[in-house]
Amino acid sequence: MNGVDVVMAALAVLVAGSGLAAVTSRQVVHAALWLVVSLGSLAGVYLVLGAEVVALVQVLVYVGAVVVLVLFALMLTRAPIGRSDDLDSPRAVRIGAAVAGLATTALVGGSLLLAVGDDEIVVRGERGQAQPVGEALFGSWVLPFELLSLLLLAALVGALAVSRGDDAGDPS
Amino acid sequence: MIDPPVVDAAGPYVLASVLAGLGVYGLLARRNAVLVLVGAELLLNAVTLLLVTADAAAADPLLGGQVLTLFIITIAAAEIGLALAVVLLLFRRTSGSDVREARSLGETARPPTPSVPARRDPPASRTGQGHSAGSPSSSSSRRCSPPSSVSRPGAARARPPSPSARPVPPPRSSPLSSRPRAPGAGARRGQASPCSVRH
Repeated sequence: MNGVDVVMAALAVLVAGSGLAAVTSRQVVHAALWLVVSLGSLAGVYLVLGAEVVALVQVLVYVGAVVVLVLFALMLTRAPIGRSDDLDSPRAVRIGAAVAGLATTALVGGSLLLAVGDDEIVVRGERGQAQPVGEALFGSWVLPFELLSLLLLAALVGALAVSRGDDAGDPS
Repeated sequence: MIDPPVVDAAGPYVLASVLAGLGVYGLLARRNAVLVLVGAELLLNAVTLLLVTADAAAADPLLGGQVLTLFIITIAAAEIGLALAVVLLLFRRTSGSDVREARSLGETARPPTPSVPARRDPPASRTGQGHSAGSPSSSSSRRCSPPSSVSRPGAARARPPSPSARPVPPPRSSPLSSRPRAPGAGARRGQASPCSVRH
């Protein structure tokens, strides 16, 4: 257990704790802000693992764009400010969801620990820098990258078409 | 040059599984549509953490884990944009963002209008509007009996208790949007015009 492991453990506790707060908070804006904490500290985990570009993109896209979109959605749907009890399902559904979540954690974590849990990661920070990642992204992965641009365009057009509203499907 | 640091791989793997469990809980237990999306984001982040960890553990020469993580982040951005549009549409229909009230595509135990044309008309009228060349069965059954109320039974059921849910469309569609999309709207109106004549 060296210093890097300690940093990793602290970041993991931060990610898991704020993620738990994000899915259990009774205030919608607090849930979105806990999501910021969780995703931001996950970027720290990426940095510890040596994936520098991925950590920066995580901060840029997730914390910068996705959470802002979530906050915009909360604002546009007139989300209640303050505590509200109708954010969650009834108690029986929540207990079932907790059982499903714990079962997912046990299944994924157990199988991962049994399979590859003994690995040691030698962190080579130079693998995750901009030049190797860029060469891989625009070299061997360039076709999926171009496909992604098509997907982004389709998502943009789809979001416009959906949010334009009712008159697209309503003949009256 | 100092030695590269060594991390135990069990920590990130356990963290990824915990994030996956939290995401599943958030997806299942929340009723607010935006908070369901928060659960989906946590689930996607569990996958990306797993990819980055496996990439670092295997020292992949193609950097597959990191590049795929970048792709997943992009897909998540596209997904959240599209989901935001769906949430706004849900809010406009039901004046709330409760996913349990979005029943217009769901199976109902008893149909709201149990007559025969209520079951036959929605696909026929919808295909008749979308494409000009329809099969003879669709053109014969395109009777355009009340299409706005029959084509979406759930929406028709959800409308009467909240008349203020959609205050926008009538003033918006008349002055603003009649000019810019004249050709598309004209074609669609031309399709729908015999129905309005028959009424």
